[in-house]
Amino acid sequence: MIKTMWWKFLGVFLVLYSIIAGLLIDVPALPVIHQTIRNLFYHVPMWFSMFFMLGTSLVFSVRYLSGFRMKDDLIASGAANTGLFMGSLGLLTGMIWARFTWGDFWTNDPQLNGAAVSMMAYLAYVVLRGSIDESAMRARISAVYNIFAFMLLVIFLGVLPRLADSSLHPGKGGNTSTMEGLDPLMRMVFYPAAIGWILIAFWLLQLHNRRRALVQGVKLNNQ
Amino acid sequence: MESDKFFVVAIVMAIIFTGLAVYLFLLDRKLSRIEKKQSEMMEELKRKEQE
Repeated sequence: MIKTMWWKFLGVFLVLYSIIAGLLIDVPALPVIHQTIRNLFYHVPMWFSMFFMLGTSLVFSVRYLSGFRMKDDLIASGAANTGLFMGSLGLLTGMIWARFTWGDFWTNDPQLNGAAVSMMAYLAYVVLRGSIDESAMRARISAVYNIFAFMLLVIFLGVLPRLADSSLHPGKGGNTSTMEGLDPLMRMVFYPAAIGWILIAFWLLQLHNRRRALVQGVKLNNQ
Repeated sequence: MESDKFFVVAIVMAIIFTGLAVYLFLLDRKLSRIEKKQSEMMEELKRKEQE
């Protein structure tokens, strides 16, 4: 059990550490955001794990296109679903924070709009899958679309917010109040938090896919 | 730090997260059991088909 599950325990341990240490450490006093800088430990890992899930989805879509195994299609769509789940948590937590920092749930900011557009691209992936009945055709078309959706994600979340110099979002554009000069003590909590949540996301993905494999009678050979 | 009682909130959040993790763990074990059962059933079916 320890042999196959150690990374799940590691993920739980790292997240527990980040929850406790994230509340207890002293954080730099910054204007406007004040103590909400601690959200870095909880909100940002959601997006990190979303990126890893959608990256996994892309890898398995490409694998599907190179071998046409249904197993790869199942993992790719499961990873897209888990990625959307983590992204929704990221959006919700970000909106709450924005309400009390910028005064509104949504502001017209390149980072926020980029996140919304790329989430839409993946919602379209889910809709596309739902609209095709024939399973081999669904797998092929959605795998091709998935490559396109990941490109959109990289452009809208990775490139455009960095090019825009007007983003309000901490760590982006002209606003470098966190990430770049991030306090070393905060790094000691932030990196474990990110790794921990990524591991938890992979755990959720594995459970999700194993359940669906059982229902659909697809064999995932690694278990 | 002592006076603002942050540690109380930290403990509460840690308990909630541990609870969720235990739930995931039990779900994981249950899935493993069902997977084992299903693969045994499949093998039995194969054996019956060969006979």
